Amino acid sequence: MNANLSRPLVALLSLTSLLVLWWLVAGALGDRSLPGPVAVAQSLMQEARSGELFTHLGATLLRVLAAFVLAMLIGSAIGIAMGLNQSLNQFVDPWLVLLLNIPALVIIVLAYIWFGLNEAAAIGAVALNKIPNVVVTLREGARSLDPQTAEMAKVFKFGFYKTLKHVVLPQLQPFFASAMRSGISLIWKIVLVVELLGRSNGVGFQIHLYFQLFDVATILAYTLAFVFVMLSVEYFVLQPLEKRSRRWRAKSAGGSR
Amino acid sequence: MTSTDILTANIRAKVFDAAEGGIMQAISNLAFSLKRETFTCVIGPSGCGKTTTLRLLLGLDKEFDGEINFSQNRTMTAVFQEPRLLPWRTVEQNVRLALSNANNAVALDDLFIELGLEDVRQFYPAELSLGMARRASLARAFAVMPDLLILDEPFVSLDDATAQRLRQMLLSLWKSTACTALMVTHNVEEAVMLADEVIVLSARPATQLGKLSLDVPRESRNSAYISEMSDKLRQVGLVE
Repeated sequence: MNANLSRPLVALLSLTSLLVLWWLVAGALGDRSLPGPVAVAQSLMQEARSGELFTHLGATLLRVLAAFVLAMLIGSAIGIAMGLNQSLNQFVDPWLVLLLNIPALVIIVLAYIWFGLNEAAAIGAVALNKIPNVVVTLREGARSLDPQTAEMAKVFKFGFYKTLKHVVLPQLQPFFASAMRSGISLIWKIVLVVELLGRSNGVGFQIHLYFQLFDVATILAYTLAFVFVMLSVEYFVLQPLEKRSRRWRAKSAGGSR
Repeated sequence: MTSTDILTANIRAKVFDAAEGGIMQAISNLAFSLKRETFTCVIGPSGCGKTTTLRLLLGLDKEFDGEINFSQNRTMTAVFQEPRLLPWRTVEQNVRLALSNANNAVALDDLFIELGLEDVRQFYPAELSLGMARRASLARAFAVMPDLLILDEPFVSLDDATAQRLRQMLLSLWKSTACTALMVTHNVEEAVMLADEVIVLSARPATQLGKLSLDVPRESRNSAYISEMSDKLRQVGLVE
């Protein structure tokens, strides 16, 4: 069998067996701490029908989006500047190392204490957790910029905007893609913690609520729904975007002469 | 600078920092001028500072002792040793990107046809052979109607037939656009085929050892003439 063809089949088989395993263990335990797939599906339907699910998913997604955009913008600006300017890099690097080693939870708690239990503090805290990673990735990208291409742009008088658009950004594209990917997966996990600690809506808040009610089925329902949404973002938004920006590579792979 | 000169250069010294705190002198007292609408070739031993000289002329390196006079209103473009096309843009996009800032522009369709690129306009650089990529690089340099064209060994590592074809294309574009050309090459015969004047550089630090004017029209430069002049140049410069 073709290896490419069999891959989705294997994945499907793997997921199905996990489902069966879950169903078997839950049935054997017969305990509230691990409800079976059916109970979780029922909770999911109930939350969806009441509209709660979508309200909270939406609130969380908005926070993920806001923190993501903020972290990417600020992180790449700082990272590119550091990659291009050696003295700036030497000065800012210790801050970066410090920030990279502060636990996410500490940043969140301090943000709430200093800026109050509000949306800005929540989103800012999430972004601040992600910014150092974006900085490190884009700094690497800026360091790897090809000097020969930059010289060409200078000789042909591209100017700032054209150089950025046609020379710099295409070279940074793989680094953006990598920062975006790791960014999304880190951010949505931290957003739940932020919601749990200091927001009154969102998936994190709901999980906290049902934790206190010891309603494991609803906790799992929210978790699965959210994981599903984030995977969809990965497969239907990020991956197609990445593929699109790699057209020139894909095409050249088959056309060598 | 006389009125017929498009560029004059007087590079007294260009040094680089070398290992262990030392310095390496790349150029020493190199002075020359380029007459408008002429074709000048520069030859010299490997590593003698030819490429460094071109970088100074192109304004890519401003740290040197000396003067280079080239009018700001004029256009200078380059064909580099490596084609230096943007891999994520097609051949046509690469050429158009150079074009949009220029005052004068040649008709792109004609340029692509003249260089035999009309079928690969939408190709990405990685899909081109080296010869094609070099032609695309020529197209980009000529698209803006340069007053001065700087070429850094543009035909190196091509087979003879391809190199010969590209030389003819270069000459014909050079004539039709009435630009001035300065080309660095390792190939003495190539210099004799193309140039009005050949400047011979010494080994590092580069300085001018001599120059040779070639008054015979290019059409009449037969193989006997080329080998005679090449020998003459080799005697001046001890070029390999």
